[in-house]
Amino acid sequence: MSTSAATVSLPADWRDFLALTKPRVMTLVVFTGLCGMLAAPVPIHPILGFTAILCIALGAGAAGALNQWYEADLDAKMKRTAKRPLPAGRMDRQSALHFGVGLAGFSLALMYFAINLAATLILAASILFYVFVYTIWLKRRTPQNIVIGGAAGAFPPMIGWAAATGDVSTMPMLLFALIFLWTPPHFWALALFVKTDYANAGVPMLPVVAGERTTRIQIGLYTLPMILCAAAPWPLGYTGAIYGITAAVMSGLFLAMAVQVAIRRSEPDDTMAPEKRLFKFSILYLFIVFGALVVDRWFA
Amino acid sequence: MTDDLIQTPPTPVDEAEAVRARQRSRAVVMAVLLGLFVVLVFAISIVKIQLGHGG
Repeated sequence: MSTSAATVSLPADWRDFLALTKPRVMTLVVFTGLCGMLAAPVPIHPILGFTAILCIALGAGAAGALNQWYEADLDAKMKRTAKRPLPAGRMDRQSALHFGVGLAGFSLALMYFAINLAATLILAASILFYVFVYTIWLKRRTPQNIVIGGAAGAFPPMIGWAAATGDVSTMPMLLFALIFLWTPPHFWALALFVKTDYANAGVPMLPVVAGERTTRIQIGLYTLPMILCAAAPWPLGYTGAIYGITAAVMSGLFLAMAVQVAIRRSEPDDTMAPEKRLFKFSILYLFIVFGALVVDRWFA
Repeated sequence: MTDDLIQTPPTPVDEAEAVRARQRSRAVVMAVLLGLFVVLVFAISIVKIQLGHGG
């Protein structure tokens, strides 16, 4: 932790506060939360559903802001993140901290008063887990950072489900497990082609610490339980054929790409095309599998 | 042409104006967000009353 790279002379622009919430990451969080809510067996009033999703988005934004507050020094060292408001010197760290804490408090208060205690507690757990366990404790210490830290990103469907039903059952736990197991192959595919960036910043990502070979094998190994989790809801009777077939096809494609990444070795000046393809496909995978869950629930 | 290359340092008046413009834009965004929040709280209250969840 250190002060930001440049001096701040003007008050931060509102767009910088928006950037602090990591809007692109939030898209996936909101989508999986929405799908968790729509897949629940109990319908929720649209206004309350909108409020619950808003709270999930604000909570994720708060966690993103606190992550950037703590990691300003790391972000300044990586090309991918150097233009963020804090390392670029467009905002002071105290503003980021106040914004993050305020937004977290607001999202939890709104969730509690408008929705229910179960959803509030899970949202609180996800914010605290992302900030304290992933950002502050694990990220700079262990190559398992994104494995354990991945739990933070896995909470949204559970929050959406809890917002609709008021509790948590086997199905949202399976959705949690699916995102939890999806996170390592997704992030390690990225880490393989931005390895230098992570190494320069001193982040112990798996390719930096254990090497490319181990990372590739781990991508393949994590993909296996991930596809089992994706497929499980159909044979267990929680979903119908629309979800089952979509999940099976998408998981087959994911496995094929993961195996391709797992068995290859990069050459000097390698474009890392299979790794980039797996990374992009992994995002599409989650969108389609979760989308199929909702289609299955509402249209089957 | 040389004149274009010479950059004059910002005067205190310019800086104060830039700060005020930034504060104005932030205040407008905050006002819009607060307005939307009021509408949301109103809508939530109506829904809760309809559903019979008074508390």
